[in-house]
Amino acid sequence: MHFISIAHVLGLLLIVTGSSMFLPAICSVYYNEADLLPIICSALITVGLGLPSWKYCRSDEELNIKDGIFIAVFGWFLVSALSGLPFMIHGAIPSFTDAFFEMMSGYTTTGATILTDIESLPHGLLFWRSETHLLGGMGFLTLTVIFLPKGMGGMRLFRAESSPGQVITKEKFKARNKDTMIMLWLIYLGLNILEIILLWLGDMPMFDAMCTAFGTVSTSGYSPKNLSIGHYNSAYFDWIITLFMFLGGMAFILFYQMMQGDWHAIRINTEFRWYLGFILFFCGMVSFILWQNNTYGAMDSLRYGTFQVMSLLTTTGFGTADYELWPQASQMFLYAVCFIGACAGSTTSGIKVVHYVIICKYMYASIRKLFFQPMAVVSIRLNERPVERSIIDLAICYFIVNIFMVLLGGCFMVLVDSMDYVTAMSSVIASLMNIGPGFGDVGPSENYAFISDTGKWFLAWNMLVGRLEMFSALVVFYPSFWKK
Amino acid sequence: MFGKKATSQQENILILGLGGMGFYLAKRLQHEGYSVTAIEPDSKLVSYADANLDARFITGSALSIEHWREANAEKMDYMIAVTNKDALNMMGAQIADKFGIPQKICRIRHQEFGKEDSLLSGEDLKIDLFINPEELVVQEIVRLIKRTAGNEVIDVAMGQVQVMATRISAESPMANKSLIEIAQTYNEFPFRVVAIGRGIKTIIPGGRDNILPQDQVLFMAGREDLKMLMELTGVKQQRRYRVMILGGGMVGSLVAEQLGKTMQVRLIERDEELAEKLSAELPETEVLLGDGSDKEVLLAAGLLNMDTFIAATGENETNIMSCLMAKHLMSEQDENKQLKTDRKTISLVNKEDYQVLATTSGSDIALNKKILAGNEILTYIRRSELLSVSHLHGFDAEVIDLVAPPGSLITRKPLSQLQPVIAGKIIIGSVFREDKWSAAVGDTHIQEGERVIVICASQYFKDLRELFAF
Repeated sequence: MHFISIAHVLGLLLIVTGSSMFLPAICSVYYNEADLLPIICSALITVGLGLPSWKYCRSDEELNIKDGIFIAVFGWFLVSALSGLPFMIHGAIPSFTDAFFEMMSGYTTTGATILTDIESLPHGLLFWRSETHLLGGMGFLTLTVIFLPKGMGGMRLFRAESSPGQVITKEKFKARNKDTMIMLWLIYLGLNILEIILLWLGDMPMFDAMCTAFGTVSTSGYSPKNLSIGHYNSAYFDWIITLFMFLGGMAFILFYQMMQGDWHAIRINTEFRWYLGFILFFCGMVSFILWQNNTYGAMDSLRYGTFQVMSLLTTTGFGTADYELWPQASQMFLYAVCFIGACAGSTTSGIKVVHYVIICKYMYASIRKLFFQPMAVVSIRLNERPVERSIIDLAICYFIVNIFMVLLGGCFMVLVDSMDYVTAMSSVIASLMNIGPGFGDVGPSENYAFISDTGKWFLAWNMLVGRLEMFSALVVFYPSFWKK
Repeated sequence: MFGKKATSQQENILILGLGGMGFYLAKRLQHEGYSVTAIEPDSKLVSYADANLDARFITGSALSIEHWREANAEKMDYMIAVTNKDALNMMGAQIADKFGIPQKICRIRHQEFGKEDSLLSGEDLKIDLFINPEELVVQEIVRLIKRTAGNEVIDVAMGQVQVMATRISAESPMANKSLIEIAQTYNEFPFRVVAIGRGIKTIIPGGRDNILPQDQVLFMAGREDLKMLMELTGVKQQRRYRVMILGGGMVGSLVAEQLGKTMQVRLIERDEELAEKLSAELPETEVLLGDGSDKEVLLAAGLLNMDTFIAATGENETNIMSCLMAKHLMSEQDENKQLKTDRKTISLVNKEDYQVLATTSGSDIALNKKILAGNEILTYIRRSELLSVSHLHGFDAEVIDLVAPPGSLITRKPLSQLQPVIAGKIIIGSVFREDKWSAAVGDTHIQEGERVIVICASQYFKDLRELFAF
């Protein structure tokens, strides 16, 4: 480990975090509320910690993959801890554990909250809470990579944070990482701005529009209202937000290809086709069940069903209705949807569509080969190109690790907190897949405030594991990782 | 917040083939701030490169136009074709031309193309620069041998300034002295120690660094003073008449062919068929069949009467070890007979990690075709900014001849104030003032538009770019 270089990068990370607190500060000035001082203090503390370590820890040592993983895992911890300062100083969230949980949930784009009354918070803090989504949505470290000097091993950082999904889709459309990152951020910010404008045109207040947009495109799910999107009760908003959840779940490389006018690449993109297929199937099923059971009328069934499926499938976690009051059949479908993230290389987490594509194709081919036609030569194709063996292994391994994590996590939660197994399981799923609301006592109309401190730390850890897509975060448990 | 913005526009370079040469170029170009995209059919090579370089890779054949489109070929400024097939590289140039890539560089090993009188000239093939790494190595060897001393002397700035590398023996008057002491002792003419090769490291020394026995040391001096410097360091000048070459591959046979006219050349080749072919092709050369990594074979071939030994087999390790052995055999004999001949060993080492190791363990000079070709290409790409780049064989360092552009960092302060930035990385050697080269000292203040000679450790090339803002 090259701790000097690590300190340099972490310092940079803190500077970026601290300086991004100026937006909520502007917000408090505008609303003239009591949270201005806490925000400014926190910003100064954060930058004050970051600046010296960024300035004085310079070395020519290249970061290796170990350092990259170390930064990826502990950078998120550090940033979440310091981002909780405004809430603690202000007193909105007095306990450190809660503030940390809230921020980790923000940065990892989970959107699970411990706040029982969101609307009682001052605007500046609410804005900061949503802004963590904006920063975390594209992956915090990608932002850092842009500012890193050349040859600091920015590539390895990117690799530690980039996901198995991205390895599969080879999301590098520019020759240099830095340029790729800048491009991704531009697309990302563009989507945010577009959504803010569309919501604002529908007469949503600017403040709400911004917070909602930050929560949508990054597929996170913090809303400045207690009732989430249900508060506005407007079909227009529901459909706009559904659309942007869909866009946030698309692989960002597709937007780049659209800008390049490369429609062929989008046509042959296997993952995108499956993504659409999944959406149509689940939205159709849930809406149909709602309509069949006379929960809503035909149009409203489609509106509420689609919104809720998209919200869980893209791991956003917004709510327009309390789906726990819906028929059991539709709840089962929603439960299944929780296990599907959207496309690799988007802002979503969880098991990506591309993993399902590979696993399904592989399953189909293997069974055929083993039990029916032993002479068959099996080739798995993605985007009309054969997929390498190592990628198939990676996808299967990723899937299995996810399932294990959910089961083990569920057992752990039941032990530390007295809760029913549905709540335990779904709280872990909701954290690991970065969704937010789950089922049982952590449903869309409840929150995570009742969980014990141990449970909160565990769930926060799960969010990070899910956001880093398992492997980077699990590697730190190998003893050899810490050996010199 | 955004740090220093590089002033030069980012050039996009497309590389075909990621073999040894392609990987080396991609690494070096990426290190110096170019955007690199590479097309390579072998997915193993791609995944290795992907884990080590910040560049974009496309897995597939360079003959598939779809891959060129995927690589955004129309946006490229340079195309460098270094696949292992000449024909494919030529075809690459044609395709690149269709995509409108302005500059095309190809590795072409066959001698019949791109010369003045070739059937197909560079214009016909749409190639702007032909690179033949083996040929570059041969030229370098011939140049080294034809020079009176076997020590490596590089001419910089049309030969007015010269750089010389020599090994410091334990008896040398300079051993175990710091540079400050040396400068005080020998003050009758100006010279500087600009780099020290030790073990596998290259040190860009400061005044307090010591020279140890077995170091390979690089001096810089004016042309007229070099002879005195050679006497000082105990380097004798002598003609090279007898050369032994190990390995009759492309490099070995070409060296034999070029030296055979004026010198006695013996070539040892292991492969019978090839040996027969060589003896038919090289009438002036004595071709011997045998395994040159064998001590007895070397002695029987008359190694002890030779004054230059060149190891040019296809294996780095064989080359390094046989040079080491040859060196030992020669020096044993010299000690017994009290002869004062000075003999040289040259080895071909195509692995950057072994370069310095080779020169500190028996090879006087270690040549690497990749580095030579890389220099050639970089000098070509930078032809507007750098006047010349010479790699110092056996050191991880370059001697660069360049002009300080207006407004660059180097022109803002005298050198002594820049020390913290450049210490241990870069030495500003001489500066051209009032029609002559003068050594740059602490209070020299480089003015814009002046020509400067700089010695720079290879890995700090980017610091040099910042300093001179090119």
